[in-house]
Amino acid sequence: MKNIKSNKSIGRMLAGGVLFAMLAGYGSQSLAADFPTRPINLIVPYAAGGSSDLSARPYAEELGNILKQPVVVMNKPGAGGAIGAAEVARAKGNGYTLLNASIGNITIAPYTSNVGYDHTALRAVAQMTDIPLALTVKADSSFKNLKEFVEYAKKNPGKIRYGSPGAGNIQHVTTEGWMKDIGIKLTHMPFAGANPAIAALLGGHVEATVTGVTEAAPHHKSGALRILGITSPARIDMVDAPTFKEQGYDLQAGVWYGVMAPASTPDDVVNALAAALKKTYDSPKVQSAWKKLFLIPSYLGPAEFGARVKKEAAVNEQVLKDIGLHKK
Amino acid sequence: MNCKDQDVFSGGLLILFALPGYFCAAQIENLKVSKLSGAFFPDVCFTVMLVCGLILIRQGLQREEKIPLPSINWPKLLPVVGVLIAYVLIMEYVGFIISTMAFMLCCMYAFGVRRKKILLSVPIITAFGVYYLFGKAFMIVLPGLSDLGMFQ
Amino acid sequence: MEFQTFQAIPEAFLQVMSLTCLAWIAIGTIVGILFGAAPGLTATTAVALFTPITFYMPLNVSLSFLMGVYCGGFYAGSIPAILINTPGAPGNAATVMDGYPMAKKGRAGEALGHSIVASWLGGTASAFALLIFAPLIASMALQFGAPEYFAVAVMGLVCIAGVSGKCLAKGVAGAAIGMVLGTVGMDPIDGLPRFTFGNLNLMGGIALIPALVGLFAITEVLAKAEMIGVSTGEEIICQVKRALPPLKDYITYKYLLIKSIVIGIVVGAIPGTGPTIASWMSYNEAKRTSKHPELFGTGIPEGIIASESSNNAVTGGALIPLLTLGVPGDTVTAVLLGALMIQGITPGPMLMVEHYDIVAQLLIILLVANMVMLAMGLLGSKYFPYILKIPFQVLMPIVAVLCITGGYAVNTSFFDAMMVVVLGSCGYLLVKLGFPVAPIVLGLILGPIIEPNMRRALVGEDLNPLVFISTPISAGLILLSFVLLYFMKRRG
Repeated sequence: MKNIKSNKSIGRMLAGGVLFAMLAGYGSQSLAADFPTRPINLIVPYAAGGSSDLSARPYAEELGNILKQPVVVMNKPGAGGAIGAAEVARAKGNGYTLLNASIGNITIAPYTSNVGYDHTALRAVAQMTDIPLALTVKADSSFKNLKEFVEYAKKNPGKIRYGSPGAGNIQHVTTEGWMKDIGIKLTHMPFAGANPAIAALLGGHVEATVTGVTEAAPHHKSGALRILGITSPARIDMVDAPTFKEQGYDLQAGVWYGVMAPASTPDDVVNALAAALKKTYDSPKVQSAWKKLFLIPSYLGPAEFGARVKKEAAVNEQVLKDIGLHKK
Repeated sequence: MNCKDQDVFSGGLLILFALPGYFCAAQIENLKVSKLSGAFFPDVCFTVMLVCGLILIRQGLQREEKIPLPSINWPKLLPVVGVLIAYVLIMEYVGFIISTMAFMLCCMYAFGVRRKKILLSVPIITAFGVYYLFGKAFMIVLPGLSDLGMFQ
Repeated sequence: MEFQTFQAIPEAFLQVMSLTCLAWIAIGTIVGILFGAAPGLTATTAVALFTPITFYMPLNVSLSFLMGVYCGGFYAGSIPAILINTPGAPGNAATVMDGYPMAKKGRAGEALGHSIVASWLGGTASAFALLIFAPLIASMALQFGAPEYFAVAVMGLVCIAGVSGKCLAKGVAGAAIGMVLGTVGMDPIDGLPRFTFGNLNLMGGIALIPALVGLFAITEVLAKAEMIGVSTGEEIICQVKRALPPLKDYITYKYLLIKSIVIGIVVGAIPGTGPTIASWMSYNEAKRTSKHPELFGTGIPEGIIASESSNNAVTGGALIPLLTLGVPGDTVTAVLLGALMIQGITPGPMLMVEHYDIVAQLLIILLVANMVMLAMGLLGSKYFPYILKIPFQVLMPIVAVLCITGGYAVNTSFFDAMMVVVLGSCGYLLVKLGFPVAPIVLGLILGPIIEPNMRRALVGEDLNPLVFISTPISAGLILLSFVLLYFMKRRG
């Protein structure tokens, strides 16, 4: 009985493709062959309705269809995503508990407070979306481009107040890092989320905001606000705004969302998931849902995604040390 | 001086809570980047508690007739608190349905229900009813047995 | 714009009057009522959970369903508030004050009737306000910066004086306890943990909903536990002779209603405040201007009407900044923003100009959803009180299960479920010592508004305390708070 089963497993594995078989071959108990046999829990470490949740829901359903097992979205919010992420980091690495990870809870939270995990406790499966940040001012502001903004900031240190979605968020940390790089000083005004920050900008209670481009784009389009720069390597379709790079500032950052699994998850399971996620990613239904939500689809496989996480974790840890937010 | 007065007791309790509060607030890291530290607002709250505590003590001491401390029927109260805590603790391990049935049974027993028909039927109806209401109508999956690791 | 308005409305009306839309409004309202009535689950959870379903629905169907959920959910929190002393959502907490005593007197049906009619009036009036005043109110809402938010919250604090009962010192201390509980977790300004003692779960803070459910429901369960075997003599007699309150009541209470609804709309329109503050403010204002303030809290219709009409008036109010500015007014509308965006609609100033047809549809849907809610609520008011026929020995364990499950379900967190029990037990001891529950809840809600805005305002102005009276709105609000306090004190 046992023999028959494992023969079947090997057969399916070979069918899975050369690369897949090569990676899956060694040692591990060919879990992937039958994977998944029961529903998969996808932990969203933020409240339902937030951008992490909205990024996950469209693909969770499609992933379930592809894997022929339901993918159940579970919201476990709190502590800037650390509670949900910590739970996945502690879970058994069998592919049935996954995390809709994002840049904040993986590359920042572990360094600002004792959350009981860091990015090495999880392994990257696939990046699904990537949203550049946007530096935004009011449409009637005198700053027409980044250069004017920076020049004013240089002459008037601390005069410009910028709103962010919260202290210790990627938007805050990235801006502080950038300020240090180019030698300007802005006053930080943290809000409880991007929308309140945008509202404060519209009302003139802050001079600028740094948020994901998702939240700023609708107001840029309507003409109420002006995006001075976005942090993507090149311009994006979603919004007609210049990048930092083309204006001569070397700042690249983005809020990514992707799937991560506990570090102990075997390679074959990770690869099976990554393959299914790629199919999900390519589905027109999922793509159009993301685009409508102003989320920018951007797929990275396990290796590239893992490398990105590692690199950004190191960068952010350094910035946190520089600005005094690193945990003692 | 009569410490038994309800206000004196409450005031004392507030002060006992506020003083360690100051201590904990002092442990909060102060960031150089912001001018007002995270301890500022909690300190304001503890001060309000301290002042209210002192007012209550004064008020209790000055009053002629004392308000007696409330009588708490611990033998009746504690079993219920106990089963409530046990309920949450075991739910994590045995899932919603089993823990709810066990809790309903014990809790109704503690409340004095002795009729066997009720003791058996109500827990089953509640557990399955709530489980399916949440699962089907609310789309919230309550912890089930599979979370135990039985099927892994 | 005027011309466009009149043209768009009949068209939108025909669009909404399809069988599909009406059916989805009804389904939405039922879902909303179920969520609202389950302690711990709120309209926010419902809208958030059901938004993904609407991803692939046509726009008018999606809006019908979600508006049904929205209105039904806001109202239904009053059902458990009246019947089992547990607000279904934070916005219904003020309804407990008079709703539960009224039910205890055997007038549960009447209390529920008042709550549904007041909710309907509030919801409908706010939908019209959305139609007429939206641009005006929206521009006002944008004036709110940190000092103004602080001033609004201070006005909310004045309510403590109104709900403290006999001893003001205990009420104020209760509010301070609530605010301290609210500071647990991540510091909103510095992003560093406070009072977490290294516990990861405490870093997430003490969630409002488990605290609310614990403080109201578990204290009630424990109070009943102490009475086991004691004949209390206050057996609830269910009289449900009429669910529809006499119309003349509402003519008598017309000023009360207008005031409460205006408070609801305005507070709802200020991003980041919401129904809880609105309903407490209205309750407090009703009590302050009443000819018989001493009767508040004993089970009189005014208390229920003030709180519920204001609570549901928030529904239209909160949509104003969402539709006109693209800025959600509260958590539910934040979720609705996502639901609209998935339909390819981006709320904002351009929506009103370019897609007035959509705005008109939304208004009609809101009005219809309120009617459906009224019908269901009135029908329900006849039957819900039968829940009280269940002997408390059986009812209380069921209430406990619902509360703990609700506390768990909001964030799928066992820690939150435990918080329901722990805060409920501690709260019970405080109640025994004569501390009122309402100020603790108010502190827990207002603290997280007061603190970040106070610090934001002070840091922005080099710690100059005059910042709080530097703008006409905040100076006016703070002055008003003192005036209200003075009048409340003078009347005792």
